[in-house]
Amino acid sequence: MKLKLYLIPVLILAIIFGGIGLANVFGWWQPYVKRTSNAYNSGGSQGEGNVPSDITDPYDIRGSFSFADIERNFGVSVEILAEAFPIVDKDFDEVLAQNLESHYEEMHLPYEIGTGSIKYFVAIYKDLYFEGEEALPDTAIFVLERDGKIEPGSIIGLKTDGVYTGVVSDEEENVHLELDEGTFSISGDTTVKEALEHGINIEDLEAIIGKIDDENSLIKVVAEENGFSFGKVKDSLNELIN
Amino acid sequence: MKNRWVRTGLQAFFFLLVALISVNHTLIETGHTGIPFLSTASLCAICPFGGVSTFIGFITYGTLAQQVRLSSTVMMGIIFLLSIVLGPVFCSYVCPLGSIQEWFGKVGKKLFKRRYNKLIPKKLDKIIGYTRYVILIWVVVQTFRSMTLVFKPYDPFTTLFHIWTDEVAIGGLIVLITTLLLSFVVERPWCKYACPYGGLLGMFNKISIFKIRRNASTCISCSKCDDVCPMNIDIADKEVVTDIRCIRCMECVSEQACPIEKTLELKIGKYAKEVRNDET
Repeated sequence: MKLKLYLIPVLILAIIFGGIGLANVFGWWQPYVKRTSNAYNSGGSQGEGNVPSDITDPYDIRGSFSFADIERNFGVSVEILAEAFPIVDKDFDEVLAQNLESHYEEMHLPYEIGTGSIKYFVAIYKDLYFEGEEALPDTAIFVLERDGKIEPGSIIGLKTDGVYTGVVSDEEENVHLELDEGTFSISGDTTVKEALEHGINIEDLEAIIGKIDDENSLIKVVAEENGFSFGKVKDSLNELIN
Repeated sequence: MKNRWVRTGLQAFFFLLVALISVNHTLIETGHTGIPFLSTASLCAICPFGGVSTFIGFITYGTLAQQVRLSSTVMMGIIFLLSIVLGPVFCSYVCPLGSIQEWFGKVGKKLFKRRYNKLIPKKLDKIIGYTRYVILIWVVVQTFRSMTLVFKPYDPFTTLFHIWTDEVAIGGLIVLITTLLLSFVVERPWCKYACPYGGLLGMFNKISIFKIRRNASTCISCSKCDDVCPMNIDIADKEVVTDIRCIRCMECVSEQACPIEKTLELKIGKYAKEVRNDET
């Protein structure tokens, strides 16, 4: 059987868009963050009604997330967020991540502060993996330093009009490396084996993240496999070290 | 000619679609109003290679690599299905990175005429092509180990559609610029020598339902099909094209390339053996 050449584009479009349509019908077409049946909250501030509550990746923070959404998902309180990104003319419950851009735009800063800055701030605050760097206002740097999330003066960069960039220098990366070698803490890429090697009992670990089948697995993965949000159990895990 | 225009039209459609989705995503992320009736998904959410790179982690841990969405694995499945039926037509009709290389190549063809795409010896060309599999294995293994998109900082596709944002990684930019510059002298350099996804899809040439077949009894061995092949495959000495480098662009099948009707076709099943008159 021979296929006429003009039928190739027809087949391509049919298979691609037909496949997406079919996946949509079955609920498999999920281009946004995973949503669970109890992932939605009713009422509340703008944006709260359509934001899932099981996000653990700061990259998933969108412009439509309110400070309250971020608190619910990452455990960074709205008070902390309001301190880091002060917008005085709004009730902080109503501030959306996307509001930051227009707010800081008025200051004519050399770097854009917006949703990316919130993602970066949350990632540092909760010690979550984040690819790249974003600009942070000096207020956010102050909060991070005050709460012991970064070493004082460790985030360096061009300071203009009260704004630090989040760009970390080579020298700064060295500081982080030294810290990592000296003080162990559990982060998204820590394996069970590494935690055990640092003196944590497997029973204590299992009490927090559930059953562990493979010591080479990432703690984050085991926790999530067993239905626990890594962001929520991470503090308890780090208390085991102390 | 008709095939070429239809293919160019489809390439332009997918290029524009992906570009607009990416712009829309940026608009929403930065708090602006998005383009109506268009997805606001990130590129990572619709890229089928994201599904490939995270697949082992997905079946092992039940979780996707960071930034990858379930829709990526759906796209992976759809493109695999397409490739099982037609072979790697994704590369030649859909992939925007392949398309832009081809468009740059049109300028190169005008500049270098018959020397275009003939600078690298065929044997060496074939050997370098295996680099794609080294990259593929590295990406899959490292993504599984880290559950992050390790390839993203070097990915020219991501860079191309984030060029207007501050998310562009310097590694990706270097790879993209190099690829586009090389496209002036070599046809689809990224696809040929480095694309891990192209390497994977290329293997479907072996198993696809429809295959490019040559009718040896009518072929006059003019080798025009070899000349037009962008991937430098020797088609004239094969009865069926199962070379992993083939992207199913159908250039060889078109009547402009093959002067004898019903000699090169995309079909199921072999040609019936015919005894040529001069052999009787």
